[in-house]
Amino acid sequence: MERADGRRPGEIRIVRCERGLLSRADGSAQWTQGGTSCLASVAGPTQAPTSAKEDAERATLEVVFKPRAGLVGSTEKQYEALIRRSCEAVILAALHPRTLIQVVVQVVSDDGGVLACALNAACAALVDAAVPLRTLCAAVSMAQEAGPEGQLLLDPSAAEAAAAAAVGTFAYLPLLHSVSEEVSAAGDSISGGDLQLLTSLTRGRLTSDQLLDMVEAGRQGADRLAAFMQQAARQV
Amino acid sequence: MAAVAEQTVGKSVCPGDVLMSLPETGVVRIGGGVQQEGEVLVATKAGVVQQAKGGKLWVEARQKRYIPSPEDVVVGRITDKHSENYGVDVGGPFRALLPVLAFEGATKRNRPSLQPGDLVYCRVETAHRDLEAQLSCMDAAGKASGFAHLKGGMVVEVSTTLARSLLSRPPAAVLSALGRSLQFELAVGQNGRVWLDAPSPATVILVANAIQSSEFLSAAQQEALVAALLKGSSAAATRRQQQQQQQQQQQGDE
Amino acid sequence: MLQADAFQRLYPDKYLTKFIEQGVRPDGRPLSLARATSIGLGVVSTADASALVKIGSTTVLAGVKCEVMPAVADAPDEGRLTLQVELAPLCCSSARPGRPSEAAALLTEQLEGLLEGAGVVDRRQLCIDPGKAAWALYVDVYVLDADGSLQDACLLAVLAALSSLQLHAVTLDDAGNIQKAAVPDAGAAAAAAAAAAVPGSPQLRRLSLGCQPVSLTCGVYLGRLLVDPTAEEEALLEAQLTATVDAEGGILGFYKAGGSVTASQQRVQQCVEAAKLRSKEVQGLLQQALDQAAAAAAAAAPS
Repeated sequence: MERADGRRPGEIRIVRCERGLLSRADGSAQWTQGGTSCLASVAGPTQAPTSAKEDAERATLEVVFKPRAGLVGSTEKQYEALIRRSCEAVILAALHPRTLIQVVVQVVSDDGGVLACALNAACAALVDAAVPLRTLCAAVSMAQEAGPEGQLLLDPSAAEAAAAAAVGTFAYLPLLHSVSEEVSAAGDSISGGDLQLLTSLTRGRLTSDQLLDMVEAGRQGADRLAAFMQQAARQV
Repeated sequence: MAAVAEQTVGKSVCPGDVLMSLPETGVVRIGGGVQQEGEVLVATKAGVVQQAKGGKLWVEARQKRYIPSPEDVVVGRITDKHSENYGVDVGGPFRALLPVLAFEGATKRNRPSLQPGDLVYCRVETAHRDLEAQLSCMDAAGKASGFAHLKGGMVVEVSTTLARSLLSRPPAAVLSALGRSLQFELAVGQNGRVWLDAPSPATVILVANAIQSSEFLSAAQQEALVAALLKGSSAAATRRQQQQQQQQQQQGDE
Repeated sequence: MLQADAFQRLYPDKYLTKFIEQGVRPDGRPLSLARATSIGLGVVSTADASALVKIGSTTVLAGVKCEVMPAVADAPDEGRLTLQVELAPLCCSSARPGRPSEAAALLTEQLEGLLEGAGVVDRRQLCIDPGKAAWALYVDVYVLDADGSLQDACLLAVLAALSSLQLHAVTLDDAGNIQKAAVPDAGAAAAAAAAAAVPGSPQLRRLSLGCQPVSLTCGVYLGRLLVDPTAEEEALLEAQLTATVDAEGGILGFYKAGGSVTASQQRVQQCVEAAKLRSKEVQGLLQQALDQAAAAAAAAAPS
């Protein structure tokens, strides 16, 4: 079944990434997916302003998420925490102890999937600022349509997300170089296997199978986004 | 090992790209932007892979924020004065320290007279990530070799990549083009700061504009940029006049 | 030779590793066992409903206060549910009095998202008189002792409080004042009201919850999954996953915030399976607590 804008279920909207837009920031990037666009800027590493924020062994990361309109509420605080924890996983913070890296994400337009777009923008801005990163992080948003015939939609628009039974935002490390597939005595794999799921936030009701399908399909979308991000990063 | 590394030199990489796998034996030197992960070397920044003369593999990333690293030459501004050191702002996350005795011919009795606000051209001696960077106005042999207090002039901020290209040999096209027609003094710091001084303010501004605009231009484009800027400038006209006068004088002498 | 406490203080990661390698936790639990859980209802007499939940040492108190509010113009037949989580200053050494901390804001957002997204409380049930009045429920959650798995305990406390909440049957008189409904006459209207009413007290009715969400937080350490980590374990975990499931095994939330290790398909499945087992256990405990509370109320009520 076709989606409202003619896309297939597994098709992402047109992606655009502009780097180095802001002259006063150490790094900046604007990431656009269809009608959703986020502008991220990075300042740092700079000296941590207070001893409360300073860590003697690692750089401290601070994220500010500004919605397009309205005051900052608990949803924005949750997004800040998720973006911060995801970026902390890829930044090599031990190289810059006692410093502060500040990332500010401003939502320019919102047509669904804003958290995933913000995460991608933050990662691209960190690359632009030449902050040392272990690998690239790619995020996608997914929606599970309601009803027994409901399809799994990748990169839903705001209307598709509002009508869905469940939505989810997932971030992956698709390019992580698995050094070795270690398996512990209990049989679990130490590295993230094939999925490399870093961050996940879902809302609404899913069956187990639907959740597993969602994370799997999300990973495929993230692979494509990561390839695009690599291209964007390699262009000087 | 050398062969594998040569394949990747000059390639554009992004964080997470594998540069090469470590050889069984031997020593591999790496610089900024490269990290060892298990048995491979991985890039941590987006940029172009470079190999220094000693075989050091590193990634040149377009970075605005300067992180001190040893053997860099920097333009610093003195922020405060203590009994043993000067505190110097080099544009990095923390201030750096310049020992009062790190000048050629300085002794306890004969200290340099630098005040907060002065500019110095110096060398980064040590830069450990947990400590403040140590600077020196002497080279390794103890000679001044150009490191000194910079009087007058102005400082222009550029990216660290542009600063590096301005310091390269052969000189960047923009500098040689400017040098043919104008008279000015220049000190390039790898911390993205360029100090300029010239007899007239118009010259300083012209040189500053030319340098800042030349970052993404090819050599031919840089020459064209300088020619366009010089056409409308009076400083160049004065210089041309002076050159003509000198030529006439020489002819008169013969 | 270092004593165990000193070793734990100096090398907390090595201390935990020694246990995990043997397949147990420092408190003796196997890796896949949650801590002992208890639910106490009606602990705060001034609240309309309250619940005190303990998971191991983690202690959370939830209270519900009901107020009648004028109906909102764009939702005339809906009431309102406002939830706020507060980390009391005594819950852990890093909590401070004053503005809600980031951790409290995150918990509030998580719980609100779960209640909304799962449709736990249908706001139309809170309607008293369409267009005129509706119930506003204020749910306050206080974390009294933060020893890991805060979301699990907070969600359970909210669920227990809402399950035990009994709303008075009220009517709006002509002057716009709220009157507690009189004992209903026998008849069709009374029969309909009695269907939702609490047996024995026709003036009260329970909320019927859309689903019963139960959360389980798990941690990843050295490639193993630790179920229901304590605060000391949480500080050392490589990654933390929280899965929220309902009684039918549907997944209402899967939350993972970064961490130094990514999750594989097997890990996601493992966590969801553990959450489903935990959900059965917790539903049983909740039902027990509700039955006990009902029995106590029946014994105390005048016959």
